[in-house]
Amino acid sequence: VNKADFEKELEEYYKLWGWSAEGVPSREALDALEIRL
Amino acid sequence: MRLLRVDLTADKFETTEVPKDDAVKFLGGRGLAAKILYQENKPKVDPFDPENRLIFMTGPYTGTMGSFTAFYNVTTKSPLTGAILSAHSGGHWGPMFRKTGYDGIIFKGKARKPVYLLLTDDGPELKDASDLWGKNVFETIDILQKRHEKARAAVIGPAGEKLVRYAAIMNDHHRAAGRGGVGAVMGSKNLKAVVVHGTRDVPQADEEKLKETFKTATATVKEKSVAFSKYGTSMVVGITGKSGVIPTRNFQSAHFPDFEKIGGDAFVNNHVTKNTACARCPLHCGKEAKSDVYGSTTEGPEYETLAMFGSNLGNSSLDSIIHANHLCNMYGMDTISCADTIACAYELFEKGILSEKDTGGVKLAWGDHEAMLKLVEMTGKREGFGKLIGEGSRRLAAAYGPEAGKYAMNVKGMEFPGYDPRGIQGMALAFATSTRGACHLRATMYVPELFQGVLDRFTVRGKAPTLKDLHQLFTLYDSMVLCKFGARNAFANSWDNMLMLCNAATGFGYTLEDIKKIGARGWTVERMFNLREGLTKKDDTLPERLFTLPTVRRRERS
Repeated sequence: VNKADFEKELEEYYKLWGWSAEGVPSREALDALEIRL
Repeated sequence: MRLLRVDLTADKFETTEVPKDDAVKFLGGRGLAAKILYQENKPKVDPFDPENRLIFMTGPYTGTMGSFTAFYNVTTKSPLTGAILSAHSGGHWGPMFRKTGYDGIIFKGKARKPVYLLLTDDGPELKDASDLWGKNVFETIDILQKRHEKARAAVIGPAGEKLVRYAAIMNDHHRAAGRGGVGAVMGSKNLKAVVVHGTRDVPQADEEKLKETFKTATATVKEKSVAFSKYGTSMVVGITGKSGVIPTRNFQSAHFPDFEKIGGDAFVNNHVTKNTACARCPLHCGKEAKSDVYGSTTEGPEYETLAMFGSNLGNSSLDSIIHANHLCNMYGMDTISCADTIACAYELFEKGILSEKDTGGVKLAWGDHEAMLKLVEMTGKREGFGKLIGEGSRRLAAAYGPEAGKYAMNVKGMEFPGYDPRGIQGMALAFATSTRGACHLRATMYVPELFQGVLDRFTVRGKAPTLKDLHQLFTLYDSMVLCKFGARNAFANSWDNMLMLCNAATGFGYTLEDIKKIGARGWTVERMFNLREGLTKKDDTLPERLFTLPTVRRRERS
């Protein structure tokens, strides 16, 4: 598996979820799903 | 939705209702259990601490008149990974549990002596299990189901009692909530079994619609899934073997020339004695198999077991794989993590990092299935070198220094199943991002990439959108709770079909957007749980070997 491609696609995956570059869900992403923990 | 709360320390019960808003937004099963675990577990609690919750959960689809309605969910913090863990099992326990009038059980605390929970129409009772402690899975189920007529028992074996970090919870003798150590958490609570017998009606909003979907599903699988019904998952050996993606010798290769010796035809023609099925299943993908060499009869092995006890150990003895499957079921252990940890030990031995001094005199060499079976026995009994095998590959390798870590094939501590991601590269991203570790059932990227061939399997590029969609869809399945083989074979992994089933089961009048949010919600809560426990982006990766050691032959690309 090409590591550079993997890292890039991982970033894209995080973005699709509305997560930060570190993979942390943003407040907006949580609000959009009405998640209150 | 009704939950039974069991405090094992205080020997107390409480019945609570799930708030309607949670039932609508999380549905049940894995999603709802993840929310409860997040809210009720103390952050960073040790998985074996009595405060770690052990949650048995069904969904609104479990036990209804639809098809593939047999599954139940178990959620806890994993002793193998330290991450959130959801495991699922079929058979007959789930539907019987739902007939008791409950939808889930939340265990906390630790009993002073071994106990089992008996739950019937009359309510819950904790009973002495001293006479059962030490007995294997088959003995325990036989005793309990004789003692409590018509009941179904979900139990642990010696591996769970002895805290093997990938011990399973077993029901119907051979059905397993297998991965990540739910059985070890149960053992840490001195809880030997959960025995259920109910006669109540299972709530279902539109029973006629669900019956109709059962008929449609039956017709669909009879027409389109003839091979899957005949071979079960053993047919996958032929696909991965021919395609060069079957893990071989601890992922040193993905080409196993002898794959046909452990494949579907050899299995069905020489070993299968009958087909078996879960409740309300028209597929009958379960296979009872016999080994005359070892005198053992088992249900399975499934594909993952064939690959990990087979090619990944350089082993082409199908009899030995059947026997290993039997032993794992008897002791109550996950076949995948057990086999992979043994493969890690084999490679450490090959590289000279381990010797016979470490293994108690057992020489480890690829293809030596007698040594493999010896290690399975030692692990199930947690004896000698088996103690370390029972810790999983990450901890086994860590015991022998940093160099050994290169040979521990896992993600977040959970060992890989039977798909080499170098030849199915969407699975590289799927394994890395899975909330419970290297799991093939959080997103089946191998279906579009390998089985259907509609995505280029030799690149990871462009796979994120499909993966995200599958993560949402599969979290929804696990929240309903629906068998994934049924979802694929009878319902074409289709959101529209899921919308119809969700509404027939609940009557909540969901839209497509609503159910996509249910999937996304469950997945996100699992992510939040893992972040709180200290996992980071660094854990969303693969063992270095998969980035640096090529295995796919270029000629295959053409």
